[in-house]
Amino acid sequence: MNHAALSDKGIVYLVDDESVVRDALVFLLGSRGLIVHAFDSGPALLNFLVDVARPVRGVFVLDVRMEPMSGLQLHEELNALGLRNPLLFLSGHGDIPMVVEALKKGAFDFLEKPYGDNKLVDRIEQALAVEAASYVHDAVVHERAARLASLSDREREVMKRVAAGKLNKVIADELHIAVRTVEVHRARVFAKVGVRSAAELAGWLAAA
Amino acid sequence: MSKPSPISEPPRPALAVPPRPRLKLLGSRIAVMPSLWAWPLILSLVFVVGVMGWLQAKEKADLEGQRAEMISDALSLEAQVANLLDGEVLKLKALADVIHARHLDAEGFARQALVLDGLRRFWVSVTWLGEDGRIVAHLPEDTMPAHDALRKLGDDGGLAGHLSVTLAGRGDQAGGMLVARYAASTLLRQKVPWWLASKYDIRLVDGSDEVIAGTVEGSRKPSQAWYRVALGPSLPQAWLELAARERITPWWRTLPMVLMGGFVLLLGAASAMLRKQMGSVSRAEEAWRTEAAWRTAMEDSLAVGIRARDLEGRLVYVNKTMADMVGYQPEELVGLLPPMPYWVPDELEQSMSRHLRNMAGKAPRDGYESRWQHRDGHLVEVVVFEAPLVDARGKQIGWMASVLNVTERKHMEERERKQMETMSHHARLTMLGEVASTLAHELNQPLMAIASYNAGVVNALNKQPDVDPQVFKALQRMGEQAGHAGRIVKRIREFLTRREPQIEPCDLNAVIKSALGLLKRDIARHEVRVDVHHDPHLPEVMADPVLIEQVVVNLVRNACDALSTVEHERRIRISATCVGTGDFVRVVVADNGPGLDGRPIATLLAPFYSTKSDGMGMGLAICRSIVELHYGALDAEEATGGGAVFSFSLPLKAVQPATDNEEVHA
Repeated sequence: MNHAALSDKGIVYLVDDESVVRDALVFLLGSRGLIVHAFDSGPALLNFLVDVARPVRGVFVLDVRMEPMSGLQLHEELNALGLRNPLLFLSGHGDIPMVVEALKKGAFDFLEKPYGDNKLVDRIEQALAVEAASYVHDAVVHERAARLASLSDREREVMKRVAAGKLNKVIADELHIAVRTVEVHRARVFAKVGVRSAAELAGWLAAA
Repeated sequence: MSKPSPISEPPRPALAVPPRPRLKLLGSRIAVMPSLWAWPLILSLVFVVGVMGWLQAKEKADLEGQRAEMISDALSLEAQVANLLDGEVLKLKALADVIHARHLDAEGFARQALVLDGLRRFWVSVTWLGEDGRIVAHLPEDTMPAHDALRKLGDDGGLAGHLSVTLAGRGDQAGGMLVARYAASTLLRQKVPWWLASKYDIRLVDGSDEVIAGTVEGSRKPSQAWYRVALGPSLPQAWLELAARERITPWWRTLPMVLMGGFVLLLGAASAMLRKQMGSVSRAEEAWRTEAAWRTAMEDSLAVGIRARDLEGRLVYVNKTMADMVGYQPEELVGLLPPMPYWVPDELEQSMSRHLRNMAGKAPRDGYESRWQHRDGHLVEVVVFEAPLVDARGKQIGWMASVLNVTERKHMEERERKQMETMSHHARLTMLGEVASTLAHELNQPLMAIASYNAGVVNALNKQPDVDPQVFKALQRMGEQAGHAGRIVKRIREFLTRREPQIEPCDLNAVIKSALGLLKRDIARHEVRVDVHHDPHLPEVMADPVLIEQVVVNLVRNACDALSTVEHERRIRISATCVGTGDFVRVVVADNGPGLDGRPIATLLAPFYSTKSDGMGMGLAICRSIVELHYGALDAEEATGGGAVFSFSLPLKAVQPATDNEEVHA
């Protein structure tokens, strides 16, 4: 699982209105093999995300002081879009109070300017690792949720009882349906959830 | 000089006048003035009464004297009459003796010298009655008959009296009688001397008050003083009456009384005039006292000290305010010559030279500032206006000065100046901090780029074999130096922005008020009308009042500067209101000036951007820093009716101040 996540390395979404810094960081991160998407303003990033129209993989690296939209505002916007990717701020000294506030609001970390060295890249990689891990976790959770969502109400009732180890006949009695019907539901639940036995089903549910 | 009416009353409110001085007499106080006019009158009346008494006494004495004199005159007259009659009786007796001795008959009787002599002298008639009672002889003959005698005698001079002697008889027979008649008037005429007649009305009266004869016609007037004396045996049943011709004038009709009457009348008139005059003097005095009381009241009530000096510089008058100003009583100061006791001991020389300058008439027209010392030692700042003191003839007799105590004002100015100094010091510091911050930001970009490129190059070279270690070392050094530069920038910035915000609950209305107080002069100079909309229910925000005040000051000052270019009415509207769902307080400073001219907020807020020729372009940048320090936002837009609207909002929610930089770095 970890291996799969690393091979599928996330992207660094970098937003800085200073082209000098932006280009330098793209170069630095690229030298460490990271993929960087750089934007010159918050709205540019937001436009991109809206165009993509799906959750993106990777981390956000935002400069704090930008015009017209500051890094903090951009953070709020990203939160509003439901994007929970790790987020790092590039901050000058004067921005520290704001950054502290941002950290409280869920930012991953801040990267102090002008210290553009490999420690900075290391921090971004850590963020990426966190993102990758949460992505995998998210993926499992999503899948489980999706599979559960695909069940009909009747199938869910049947599933609960199957997982509890009840026999088809008992289930049929309890739900006042024919045993044959229970068998059909059971087969569908197994197919939708992706298990082959009642024990496997119980294990799948317990992992949640 | 116009002559003011002494008793005209100017329309002024009533005021208490100090009581009139009273004469102390026998322990009681007498108001002297009003009764003064009566004293001459009273004294004169006493004199008049005295004169009247004297006159009365004199009259009484006169009457007594007159009576005594009259009695003695009457008695002596009576004695003379009696004497005369006695003499006549003796002569008649002698006749009777002659008749007896010579045996005279009627003829012989008629030729008898004694008879003739008697008739010539006194007798009206003489009758010889025989012993049988018949008339023997009667002379003068024309007075016959005897029956008419009495009547005739009465006609001829009033009532007549008669004298009779008995004739000696012959043998044993009775000898008859001799009767001589005389007129009472003749008696009076003969016996009353002229001086007596001129002095008295002299009458002979009988027992029933009938006048028998008199020196004057008619009877006694009732008002006359009189005296009666009986004539006795010589003329029985008759009285001699003296009535004084000269009447003693009653005392109240004497000349002195007339003079006195005139005197009293004149005195009365004079007293009335005197009283009137005294009344007017009294009223004038009252008016003068009221005027003086007014003057004293006004001079003592003045907030301005008044000081008058003569040409030598001697204090001749100070009002109470002036005396209070330096802690003395006016009486203590009046009469003093420089150096004055209220001069500051350390500045005596300056004070003296200033005094000499003033005495030379070279005091500044628009006043000069001076410093005095109160009796208790504290210093009094004054502004003195000197003016020549000129009398009615236009001659200068001294110097008049009004003295204003400006200690409070000075202190206030001092306080204001210090406040301004502190504020500008703060502003300078903030600005320096902002410059440093801006510089740091600007330097951080290239430094960041250098460091990043450096690290990137190192990374890239790491992947290649055979790289000169010297190059690596150089690149490493380069990275270190970039970091070093960064730290230097950081240190400078930290040093200059040491002031940490003092976050506390703060009333934005009060902050706005205080900011406007600081800008009073700018606002007045630019002739700007400032409307402040106070929201009385505005909640307090957690903020540093000094910093927020600086923001408001900056925004208002910018608005004033912007308005200085327009000609129409200059207005600034300031409001502080709750906005959103009550999470923010928004402070708006709107003006009706030229507006933003299409410049975006980003341009306006950029450091070193200014529309003012002398501006540094840090004001709004500082404002933004401060507002952002409070987690707020600064905004600018065009006003709908022209002009600019600057605003900033601060969160109401108590945000934990993130001021502890060290902790963050740690």
